[in-house]
Amino acid sequence: MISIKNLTKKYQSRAVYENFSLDIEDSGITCILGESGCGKTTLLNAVAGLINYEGEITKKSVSYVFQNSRLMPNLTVEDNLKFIGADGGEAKKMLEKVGLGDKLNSYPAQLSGGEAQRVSLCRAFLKKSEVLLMDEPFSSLDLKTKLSVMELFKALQAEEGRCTLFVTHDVDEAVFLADRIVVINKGAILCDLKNENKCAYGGNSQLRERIMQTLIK
Amino acid sequence: MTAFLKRHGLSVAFAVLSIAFMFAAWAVSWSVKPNELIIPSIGKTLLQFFKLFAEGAFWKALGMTLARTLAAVVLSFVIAALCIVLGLIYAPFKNFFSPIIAVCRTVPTMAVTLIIMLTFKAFTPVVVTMLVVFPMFYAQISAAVDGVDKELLDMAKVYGVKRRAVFSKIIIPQIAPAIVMQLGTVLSFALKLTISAEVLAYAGNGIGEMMKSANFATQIARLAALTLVSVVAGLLIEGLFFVITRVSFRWKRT
Repeated sequence: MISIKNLTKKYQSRAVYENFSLDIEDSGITCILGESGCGKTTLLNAVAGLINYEGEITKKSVSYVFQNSRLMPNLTVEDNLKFIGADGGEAKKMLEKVGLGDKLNSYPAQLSGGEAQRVSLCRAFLKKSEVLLMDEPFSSLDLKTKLSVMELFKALQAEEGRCTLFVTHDVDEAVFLADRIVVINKGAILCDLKNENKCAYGGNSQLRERIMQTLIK
Repeated sequence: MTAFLKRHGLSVAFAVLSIAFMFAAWAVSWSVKPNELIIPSIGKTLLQFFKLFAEGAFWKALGMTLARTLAAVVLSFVIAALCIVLGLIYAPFKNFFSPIIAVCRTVPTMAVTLIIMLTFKAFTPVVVTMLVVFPMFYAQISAAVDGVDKELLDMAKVYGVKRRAVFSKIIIPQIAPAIVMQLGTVLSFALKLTISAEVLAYAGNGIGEMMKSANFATQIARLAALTLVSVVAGLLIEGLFFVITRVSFRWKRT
């Protein structure tokens, strides 16, 4: 379990979090939902140990899928995966699994946005980490690509059941992917909901309506 | 070749046009004042230019000038890189180097040449070139280091990548293209500076020395031919580094 206790983070004088606490289960997808600028990325960066903060967060090994793919432009797709310690065989297998077997020797600039994000997913799943962090990884993709990459992510996640902390501002994404949805605003939890009946992306559900009403309030 | 011309035909045409324009300007100047002691003709200059290749002393002088240029550039690069590394290890070092860099950048080259020529003798051109090239390298490497993608460094940190791999796979590849791209220009500029310092400092054995002898003997066509040599050498160096950059950093173009 990731336990966040009394997290306080300030940027100059502006407090993003003040004594924020949250426990995240060891498996399943927990989604942090909130509007842009509410501190979602800050929370992930704190869990990843990329920023300084006050409070306590359980130390876990993490994989991180960033908003942009963060692939190294000077390395081929295969070498990007090897860079984080994956061996050649594993990398090839994983790329074939996500339909990019023919892109092994391509450079990131030769990939489309969706392909780059799929490589980024491969990198995250290839690292044997305890927690997978995802920072709005589908936000820059067009709807069709987004749906195919989300389906792919769901399949990979279901295979491993790795604890995933996912942040987004897209309610449909949250309802489609998450097992648990935590809505936050101004560093506080507005509601914490279980998503037992996942609906299709963009589909209507009671949970979606409830979240929308909470956000509008 | 055909594919190359299809892609770059217009660029090549304009480059050829530019060279033709320069030669035309030279020919017009000569026709206005057709005096070989003031402006040598293109024909005589080219004749002298090709005659130089048959002289053993010319190759020795060219070798010496290139060696001085290379020594100055390599030393400046190493010192600038060391200063940057020291500044990265301990930030206040940056403040220590700043005034030194500012002085190197602003000091008049001619004055320095005259001051140090008695002390450094044949090494004067190396020292003078270093004084000019060192702040250029310092600025270039600093900018390249500042431009390293912090997001990639964060990614490497999250994935627990070893420092050595971060250095060789992220930092070096990110700063190298910017530096190598500039290296050709810096080298060609350094060559020009070294020749000027050779002329001024009586450095001996160099293209600058040959220019001075030609000047004393009022062999203006030979002087122009030697100038043409420095121009061609500079352009060849820039061209060579352009090719090196294109071949070495293929990923930058994809």
